[in-house]
Amino acid sequence: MNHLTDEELMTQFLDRNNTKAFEVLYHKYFVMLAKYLGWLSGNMELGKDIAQSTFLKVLHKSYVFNTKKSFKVWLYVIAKNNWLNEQRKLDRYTNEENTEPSIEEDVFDTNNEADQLQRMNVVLNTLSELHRETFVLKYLDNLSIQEIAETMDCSEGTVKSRLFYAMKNMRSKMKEFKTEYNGKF
Amino acid sequence: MGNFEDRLFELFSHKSFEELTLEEKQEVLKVMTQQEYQENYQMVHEFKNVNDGISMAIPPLELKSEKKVLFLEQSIPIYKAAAAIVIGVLLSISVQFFITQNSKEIPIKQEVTKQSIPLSEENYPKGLVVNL
Repeated sequence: MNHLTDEELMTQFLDRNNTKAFEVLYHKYFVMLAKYLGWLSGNMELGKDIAQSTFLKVLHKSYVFNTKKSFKVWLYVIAKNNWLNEQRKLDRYTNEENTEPSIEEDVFDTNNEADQLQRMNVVLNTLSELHRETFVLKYLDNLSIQEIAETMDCSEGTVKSRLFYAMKNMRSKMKEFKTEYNGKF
Repeated sequence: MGNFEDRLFELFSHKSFEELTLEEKQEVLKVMTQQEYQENYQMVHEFKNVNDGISMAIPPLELKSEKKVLFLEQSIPIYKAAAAIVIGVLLSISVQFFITQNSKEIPIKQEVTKQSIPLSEENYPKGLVVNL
């Protein structure tokens, strides 16, 4: 079943109620999607939770999927909308609690993987949401420029421009880090 | 340049500056310095390494609970929808027929004679006479 395209697997699931086909898609995309949402939210556990609820939504809405279109793009659009809904809930909660998320840059240990992940988050958080998402989709999720344009509902030129500026800003932030930690990041 | 822009973003994740072909190097140097290219390449690789290092267990997919679909969101085959419409039409016709068959018409008399009799002392109802 692994030789089938994503869209063929969805067709199998929709037409023949072949749950194995859906499981293949789930195993193929779950980690990738969870990490994407984790980078967007700055919290990998939250990313995992949103990825799970995204797949539930995909199941509930599977009958509206157009098998002539890209499953990957459809999945990422649902995931992003799911994250935006979650973000609104979190914003409401943090406003009520009156707390601000803080990242303590001073306590980084350059050899610790968790700290390295946190530093990467700090660098990504210096970007606007659109730039951050574009970078993650391109280099961590390996989507093509065209797929990113479809997912983010913009032109390919806009995607390239966002990538260019995202990388420029990230380079300067990483230089700051490297100066601070004697060449280590 | 348009085509090379696409390739350039791909090259960042695959080749260091030294690994580029002579043609690729020439194209890259038209838009950025060697140092900028190398920094982009290293940055992408550092992010990829951290991303790949994140271990994440895949939770089991619970298809049973996920299959619960709200009544109004359920999709039904076209033949079922068509059958429901046909049944609906047949039922409404038969109900209409039943109603028309069992309706009772109120008979209308064409000639109505006056049956009221003017009251006089002789034909006044005795029950209504009060003897004081």
